[in-house]
Amino acid sequence: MATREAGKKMIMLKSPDGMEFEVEEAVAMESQTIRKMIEDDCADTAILIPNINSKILSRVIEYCNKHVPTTGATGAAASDTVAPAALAEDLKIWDAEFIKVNRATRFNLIQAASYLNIKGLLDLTSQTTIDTISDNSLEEIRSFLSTKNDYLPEEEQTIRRENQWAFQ
Amino acid sequence: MSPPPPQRGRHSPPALDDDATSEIFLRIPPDDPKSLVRAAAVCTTWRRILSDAAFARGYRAFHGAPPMLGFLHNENESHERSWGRGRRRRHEEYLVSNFVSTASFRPPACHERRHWPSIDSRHGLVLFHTPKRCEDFVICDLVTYDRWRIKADTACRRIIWNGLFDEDWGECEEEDEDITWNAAVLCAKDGCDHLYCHGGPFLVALVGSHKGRQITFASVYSSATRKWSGMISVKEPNVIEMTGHNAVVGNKAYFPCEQSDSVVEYDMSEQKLLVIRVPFARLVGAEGGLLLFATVLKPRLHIWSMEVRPDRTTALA
Repeated sequence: MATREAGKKMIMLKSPDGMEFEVEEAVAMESQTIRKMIEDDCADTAILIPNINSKILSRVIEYCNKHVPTTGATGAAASDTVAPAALAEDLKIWDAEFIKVNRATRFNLIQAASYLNIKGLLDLTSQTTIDTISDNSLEEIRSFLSTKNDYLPEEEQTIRRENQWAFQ
Repeated sequence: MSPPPPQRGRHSPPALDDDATSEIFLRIPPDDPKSLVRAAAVCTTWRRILSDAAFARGYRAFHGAPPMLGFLHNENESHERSWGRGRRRRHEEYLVSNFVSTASFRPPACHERRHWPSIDSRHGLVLFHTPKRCEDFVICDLVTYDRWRIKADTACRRIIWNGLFDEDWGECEEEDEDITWNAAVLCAKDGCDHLYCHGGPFLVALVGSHKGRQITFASVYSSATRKWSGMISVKEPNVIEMTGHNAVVGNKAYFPCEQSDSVVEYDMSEQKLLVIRVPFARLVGAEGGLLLFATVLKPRLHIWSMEVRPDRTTALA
C-alpha cells in the first residue's frame, strides 16, 4: 500500500470489491479518465473505479507508478540522473516482464486501460491480439479470442471472395 | 440488431466492450490493411466497429499521414495483331499499368490493366488515361474500388484528340508530336487534411500545349458539378512533359515542361496559367506547401525546395 509522502498530493482509488489504494495524484493522472475527474473537481474524496477488481487495479497502479514521468518505481528521481535512452530501455525490459500474464489477466488489463484511458498500457496489452489477427486464420483468431462466428456461411464466403488479397 | 454475446467457457478470456476492442484495432499498423479486413471477417460485431466512420477518423488521427501501400508504374508492351478486311498484320503497342505493393495491400483494381496507363495518383485516387474506351479518363479509389468515368473538356479534347481517331477502331492513327499534355487528380474536400478523403469530391486538372500554335491550355473537372471549368489558354510555347511528375500545392497544380527550366502553374480557383522558372532539375513532388526538385549533377544528388508565395514570387532553398 502506498504511503503518504511529504508535499505530494495523494488520491484514493476504490475497487468495486472494497479495496482502497492511496496513490500519488501524478500517478493516478496517468489515466486520462482520472485526470479529467480531478481537473473537473469530481475527485474530492475517493474515486470508485467501476468494473475493475482489486487484482487488476493494483497491476494498473503498478504500471502507472513505473511510467509516471518524474519518478521511478522506487520513488527516486530518475529523469535528471539517467540518460533518456537508458531509461527507455529499462522501461522496455520492465514492460516485457509486466506483460507476462495469462490471457484472462491481459484481457482484463486491456479493458481497464480502455476505461481508464492509459495509452501506453493499451499499446502494451494490445500487441499480442494484433499479432494473432495478423498471423492466424479466421478460425484461429476466433478460438484465441473466444469470439463466436455469427456470419452466415454465404456471408463469410462473400467477404472472402471480395477481399481475396487479404486471405492469401 | 446486434447479435447475442457468444457463450464463454470457463477458461475463456473476458469479453471486451466495443471501446476496448476498438482500441486494439486502432493499433493495427497502417501498413497492414490485410489485418483490418481479416478482423472484419471474424464476426459481425468486429465488422460493425471497423466499418464505423468514427473508427476510420480515429484510426487516421492515431496514425497520422497514411503510409505508402504501393506504387503504380506503366510498362510498354506490344504484340502482332491481324485485323481489317485485308487481314493486315499490325504491330500494336500499348501501355500496361501495374500496382506494385509495398505493404500487405493487393488491390484488384489495377492489376495489369492494358491501355490503362496511370497518369497521376494523389489523396487515395488514381487517374487512368483510357483512350480505348468511350471516356478519356477513369478515376479510381483503389481501396473502395469506386470508379468515375469522364470525358475531357470539349475544347481540350478537340485540340488533343480530334482527327487522331480512326473511327472504325477508335484508335490513334498517329500521334501529333506538337501536342503534349498531362493531368493531375486531387481531393476537393473543403479544409481536408487528406488523412481520410475516401468518397469525397475531387478535381482533375488537365494542362496541355500545342507547339505549332504556341499555346498552353488548361481546364479543370469538378466531381461535385460533374463539369469542366471551360478551357483557358495562354500564348506560351511550352512543351508539357507527358510523363513528368506533377505536383499540387493548395489550389495550384504544377506541370513540368520538357527540356527546359520551366514549370507551368495552373491556378484552378483563379483560372490562371503562369510559367515559372525553376532550377534545372526535375519536379519530384510537393510537401508541406513546398515544391520539391531534384537532379543528379555529376556524382552528386542536388535537392531544392521552392516556396510558392501568394504574390507569385518564389523562394528557393
